[in-house]
Amino acid sequence: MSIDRRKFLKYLGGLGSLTLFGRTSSAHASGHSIRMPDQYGVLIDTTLCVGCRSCEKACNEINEDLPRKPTQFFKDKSVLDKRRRMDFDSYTVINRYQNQRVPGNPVYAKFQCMHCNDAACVSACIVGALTKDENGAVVYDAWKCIGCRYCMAACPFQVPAYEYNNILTPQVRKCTFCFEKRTSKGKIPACVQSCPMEAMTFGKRRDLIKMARKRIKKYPDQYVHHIYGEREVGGTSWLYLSSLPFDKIDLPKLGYTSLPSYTEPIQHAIFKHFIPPLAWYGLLGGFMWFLRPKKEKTETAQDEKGIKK
Amino acid sequence: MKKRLTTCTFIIGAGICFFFFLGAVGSVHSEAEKAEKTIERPILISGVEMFEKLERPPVQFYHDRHTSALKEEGCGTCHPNDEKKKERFVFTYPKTKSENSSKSLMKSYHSNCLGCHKEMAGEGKKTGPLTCGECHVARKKPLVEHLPKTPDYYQPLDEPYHKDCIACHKKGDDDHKPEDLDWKGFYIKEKGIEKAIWPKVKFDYYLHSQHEKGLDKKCELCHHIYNKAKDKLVYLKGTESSCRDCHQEEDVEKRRTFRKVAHSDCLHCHMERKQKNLKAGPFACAKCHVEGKERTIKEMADIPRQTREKPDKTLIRMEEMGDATKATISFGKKPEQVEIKVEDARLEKVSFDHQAHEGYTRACGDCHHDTLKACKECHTLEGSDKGSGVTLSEAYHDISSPWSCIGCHELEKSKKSCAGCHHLMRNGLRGSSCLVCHSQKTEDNIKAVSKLGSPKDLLPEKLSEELDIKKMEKIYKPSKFPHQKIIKNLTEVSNKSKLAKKFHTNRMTICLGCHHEIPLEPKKLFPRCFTCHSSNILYKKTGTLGLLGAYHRQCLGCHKKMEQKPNDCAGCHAEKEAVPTETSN
Repeated sequence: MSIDRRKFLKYLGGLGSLTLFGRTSSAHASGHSIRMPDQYGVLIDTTLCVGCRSCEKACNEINEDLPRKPTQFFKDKSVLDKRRRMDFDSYTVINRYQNQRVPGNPVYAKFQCMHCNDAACVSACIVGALTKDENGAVVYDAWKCIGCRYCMAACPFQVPAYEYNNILTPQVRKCTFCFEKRTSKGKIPACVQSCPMEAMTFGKRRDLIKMARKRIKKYPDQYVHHIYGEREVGGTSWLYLSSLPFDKIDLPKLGYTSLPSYTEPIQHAIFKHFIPPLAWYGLLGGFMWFLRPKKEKTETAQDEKGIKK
Repeated sequence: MKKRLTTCTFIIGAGICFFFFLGAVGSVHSEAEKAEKTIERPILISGVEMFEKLERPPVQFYHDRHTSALKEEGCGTCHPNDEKKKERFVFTYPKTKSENSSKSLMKSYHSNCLGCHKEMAGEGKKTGPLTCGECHVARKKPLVEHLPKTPDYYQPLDEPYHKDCIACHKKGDDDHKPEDLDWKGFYIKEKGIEKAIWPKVKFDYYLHSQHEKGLDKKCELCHHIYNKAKDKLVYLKGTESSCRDCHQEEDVEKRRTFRKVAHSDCLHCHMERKQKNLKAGPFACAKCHVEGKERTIKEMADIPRQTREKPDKTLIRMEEMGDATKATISFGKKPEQVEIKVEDARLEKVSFDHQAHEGYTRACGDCHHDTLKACKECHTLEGSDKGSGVTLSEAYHDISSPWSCIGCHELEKSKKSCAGCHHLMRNGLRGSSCLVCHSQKTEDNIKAVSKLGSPKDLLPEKLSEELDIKKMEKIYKPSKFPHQKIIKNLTEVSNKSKLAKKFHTNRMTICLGCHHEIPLEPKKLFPRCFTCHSSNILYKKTGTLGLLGAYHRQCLGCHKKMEQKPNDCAGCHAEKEAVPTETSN
């Protein structure tokens, strides 16, 4: 069979357009909807934090799988001189920042997993070891984890840490929202309970946002007029109020679109209900069948070859 | 071999030390230099009124460089003489200015500036630039210090300031019109470019007293009013006001702008006095338009009161506005005209101690804006254009404005000595505080202030001097709380402040700082904190604090605001001897 250029392009175009079949819907197919009306969260008011490290201590006490640390360690304020990150041995850390507005009055900020509404780590996990619970927590299941560390690469806040020192059974480490021990049983997270200044408030996310707005309205000169986490990367369960610009307290400037909503429409569309791959291979097969060499022609071709030889 | 090695290391070490030394000296030197140098601000010349589009960036003209370079030649080199009084100059530029068209204006600038520069270059003298780009300098970096200051809570705008200016002005809402921002030069147009560039001269009590002294209290040398009948400027005692009262932003008939008046009259007086070898004020721009620090009220404490006739004590009420005031009230569709009569006024007159308040200002304009009239002349009951829409009530009571009574008091309350209690009860005009001002019936009562008594009269007898707070007994020893000492100290602070003495009328006021929202009675025990602040912190929708938070925020918040110690954990919570183990939570 002879196929001219025009026909070839026509088929190719038709084939290509069929692959678009699965991409028509833009809503991405993560396990949970972004808006869970009753999800919980925590509002951190960094203007109130005094850097006592009670939350770090409480976190270490409640999470028994973390390496034990003596009480004296948490009384040592000199660790605040250095900028720290969450690691395999701590789910939360407090850092100190210089305050340009009121020199000599440093600002403290606590960090932990932000428990994003539409978490990039949940989307990136290929075995479903990370899931977003309805109460707002992003929960890690060590039994499912294969240690690929995609979650660490995906997280916009660089939260998940990895037990590199554990050779046999390494786990990914990040704040659990005290899911197993407390929040799933109607208690509040250990760090929130321990805070002497009550700089953290646990509650339904929508109430917290209202509360934060009220605070900004009441003391407009004390706060940057923005709730960090309200809309960042599609919203996070942990929200921040601050007197300093947020990038000054290591909260990165991020877009308001959740990261999975960029990646998932493409990735999921390619394999949606397995139709696109089947269609693709079916079409390829059809194309091959259409272009299969006909018997007579093959013979003559062989003849020609033979003559050439 | 070893010897050589040691000498080598010694030489290298010495070299490194020397470099460090140089570096240190260099840095010290440059810092000292920086402190010495005043910021040199250019005047931007662009003729925005004539040119619709600027082909080149505005000229950056450094006036003080020219005055110092042309000291011998004098002002006449650039500025034309006054037609009436020959010895005077008119401080305009250029000398021969033709404003017929944009081209002729440009030509007159070019011929004057470049002509002089060329002439001087020809004589072999040091002179200014001759090429286009040297005067029309395109600014790569925006001149941050030229821009108006933003309020404190707009801190995030401060650093990437320009980016954010543009971000808002691009969108263009009512406050941020795109045409208010000049994209090329990155500055905000504010009725002529020069205005935004130089800091305003603050003619405070100190400067006024200096002029009074120098001019032997001859008020007529500066102050005047216009007499229409005589078509003449005359001086009338008791009518002295701020220059800006008449001389405004734009020329009105014969009245010149404030800018023109201030520059020609002030500078001429300074010049004439200099020629007569009398003590004279400065000529250089930066000497009057001083950067940065303004004189504080404390520095001006010894300056005698200005002599213009003014009320020492006054009663403020609508009474003085005439017999009746008309107000438009519209509840339904039809606006109704209602007459408000003096007898109808329901609150007492406010007795205002003018003299006492003068001590809290740096110039009359701090309250009176650009005039010396009474508030009610511009701020009418309904608001008028003259008072820029601010009603009389707002003028006295607006909490967010530093001009209003309440706003200024609020600022005072945010200071260190008061903020301890007041930072938590902000935006607070309590119902009872109305009567503090609206109460005095006679002028004699104006200065009547209450003084808070000793704490012993207030406290119940069985209450000990020091209280133990045992909330965190499991982990720490009980915290010692010096209850009586704190009340005593706060009472002292209150009794020192005039404002506090006036407003802390109730003798239980001092208790309100901590025991808020409670009916107070002396010699009685108040409800405990945990009545409202639950000791079990669980999620609560109302947002009421738990006991832990209530204690810590109350104590630490006050300590922070009043810069008191202790402000760390160990200061209040003494460690128990036996450190509890991990398991005992």
